[in-house]
Amino acid sequence: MAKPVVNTKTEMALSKKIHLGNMLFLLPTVLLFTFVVLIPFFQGIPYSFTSWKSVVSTNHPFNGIANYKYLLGNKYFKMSLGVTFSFTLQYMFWSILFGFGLALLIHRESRFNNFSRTIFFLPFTTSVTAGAIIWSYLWTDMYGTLTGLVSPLGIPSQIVPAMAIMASWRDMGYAMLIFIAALQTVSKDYYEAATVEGANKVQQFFYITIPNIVPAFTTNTTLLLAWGLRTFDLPAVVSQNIVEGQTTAMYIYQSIFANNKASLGQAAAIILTVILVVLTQIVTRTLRRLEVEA
Amino acid sequence: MKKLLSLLLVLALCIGMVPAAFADEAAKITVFHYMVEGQKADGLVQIEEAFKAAHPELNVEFENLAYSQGTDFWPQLSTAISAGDNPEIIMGNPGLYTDLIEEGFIKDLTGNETIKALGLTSGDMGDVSYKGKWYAYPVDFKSWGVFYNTKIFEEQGIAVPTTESELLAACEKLQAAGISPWANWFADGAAVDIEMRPIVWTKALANGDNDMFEKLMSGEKKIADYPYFAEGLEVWGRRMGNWARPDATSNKQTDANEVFVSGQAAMLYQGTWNIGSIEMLIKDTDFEYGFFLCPTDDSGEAPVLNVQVDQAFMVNPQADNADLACQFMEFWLTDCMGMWSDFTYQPCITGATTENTPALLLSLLETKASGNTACYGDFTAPFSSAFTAAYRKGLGAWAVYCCTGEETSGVNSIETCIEYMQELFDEEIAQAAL
Repeated sequence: MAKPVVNTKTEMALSKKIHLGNMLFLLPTVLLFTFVVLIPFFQGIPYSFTSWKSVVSTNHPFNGIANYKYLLGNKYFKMSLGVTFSFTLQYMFWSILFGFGLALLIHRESRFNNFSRTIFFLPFTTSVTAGAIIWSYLWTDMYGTLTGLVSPLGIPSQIVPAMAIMASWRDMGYAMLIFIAALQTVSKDYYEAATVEGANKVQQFFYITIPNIVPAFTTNTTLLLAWGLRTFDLPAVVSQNIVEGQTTAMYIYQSIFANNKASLGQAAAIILTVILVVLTQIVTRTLRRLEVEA
Repeated sequence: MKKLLSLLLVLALCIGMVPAAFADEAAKITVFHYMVEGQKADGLVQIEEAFKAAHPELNVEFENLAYSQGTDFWPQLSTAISAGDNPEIIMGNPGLYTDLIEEGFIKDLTGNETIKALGLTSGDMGDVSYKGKWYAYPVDFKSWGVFYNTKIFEEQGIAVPTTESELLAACEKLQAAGISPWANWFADGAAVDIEMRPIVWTKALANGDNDMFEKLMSGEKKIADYPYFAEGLEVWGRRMGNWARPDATSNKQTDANEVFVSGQAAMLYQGTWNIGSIEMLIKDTDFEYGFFLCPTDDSGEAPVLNVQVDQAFMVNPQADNADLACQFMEFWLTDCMGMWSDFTYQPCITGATTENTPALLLSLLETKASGNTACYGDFTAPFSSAFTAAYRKGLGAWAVYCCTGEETSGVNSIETCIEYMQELFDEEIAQAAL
């Protein structure tokens, strides 16, 4: 029997009210994001078509697409993109590997596991700069002393892997927490049923655990990809004088501020943003498809 | 009840604001600087206190922005100014802040009586000038050379080297005794730059190439047109020899200081700005060190002292209290130079000393007064920040090759290093033309 019309209208009004309430909770964040990120980004676009030099200068002569043309054919900008991709891939790999490994080890509730989670999450609470300084000491004073080898921070070809390890050390705790949350949502019934059916631990891992936590992989991959592509602070601390360690974010910063080529840096920033948005979209959609299939 | 509470809260806030609104606020002078060393911070406090004793109506506020080869200081400074936050005093040599000058953020001090009364050389004044006009108050100067562990030198029977061969022989002797000759810090761009200066600056100025940096930046000349760069790389390469420690290319200034004062290495090629940091590290220890200018040839002649104005301060005419800022700087230059030197171990540009001035500073001042100097200010223009960064990247690649054997950016010889630096310079020139 159909519900009376009056009740449906009331439900709809209530639903609208709840929806509006939820939207209001989001409003401060949306406003902040709009004023701090979106508006400045769109305001910055016209500057990328000028030959604006120093940020203190009020002279912005229009120069068309010269900055974009220059950057797309420029060896050092392309190198910075290469460094950024290489760093991001390595950083994502280590963060997910260690984050997932740690989550598997300590996802069950116990005092020791709770304590361990805090310990592994702690690096995420430190500033990147402080972490980079600590790692500089570790690479130079411990790794160098123990092995007699040159610190990877002193060899340009090794600087990207070294930075990826430093960044992963910091962020694997965060990835671990997301994996733990996902692991805890997998129903025990699945495992019990699988055990009854005679599935061993490896089979349970690949056929129950992994498919059920694909959303956690999506979340971690998307986050780490975005963080990796815009990495700035690590190279600023450890590889300022080394072209082989210069990420695109660093290239942008140095162009705008240190080298007084504000419009060129702005154009580079827009290219990086486009790459970031496109890549994130591709990766997220691909992983979402996997989630559905899983 | 809620309304009453809100009303009370608002009332309390209003009452709290009353004293602030009626407070008799002293005029404030804000100083943007990048002196991170502890002893310089102490020196600033002393000067501030002396100034406040003489002018209780004025307040001086120091804001420390990390320099980090200019990449941190300039962004913070330029964004502050762009946002309308105008400091009264800005630390820096005008040649690196030409945009601020062009945009009217730096006061023209040409003919200033206090600066004139200092009786400085053309080289000193060049460091605080731009297009022939004075734009900063110079306070002290810097140079560079070799700090050495006197105990190790004595134990190994090594005398202070007066020729390059003697220096290299000392390195070999130390290496044979199991002591690292050098505490290097080549991860820092300043380290690789100062290694080259005794040759590049000295020879360029001696040959009348005062416009070398200007011509390199405009693209009128190439690095290969000036033989001093190749010679500088060669001499520095010999100094690096086969005795680099594993940490040579990853250490920064503070790391190398620790290596040196802990006795792990016998020598440290450093700037005189570092004397205060070393003194702080060795406080209450029996560590002793000496200093000599690095010999770069076998002539036996006394090496030339490179001189560059270190602490210099510009005044922002668009700031609220620009005139008071000039008053503060002139007070510093006339009444506090000796005090500044005592606290910071910095040699004053005026040659001012006190009874506490250390022998090392006295010898630097004596050499400067003798005129056996090569001053950066005698060049028609300094390298801009962008060219400095490009130059240092090239030198860094040379240091990595010499210390580790690793080829970076194709640098595996003096020729390839010069080619690489030129490529980076061409990049800057192309970007400037956009």
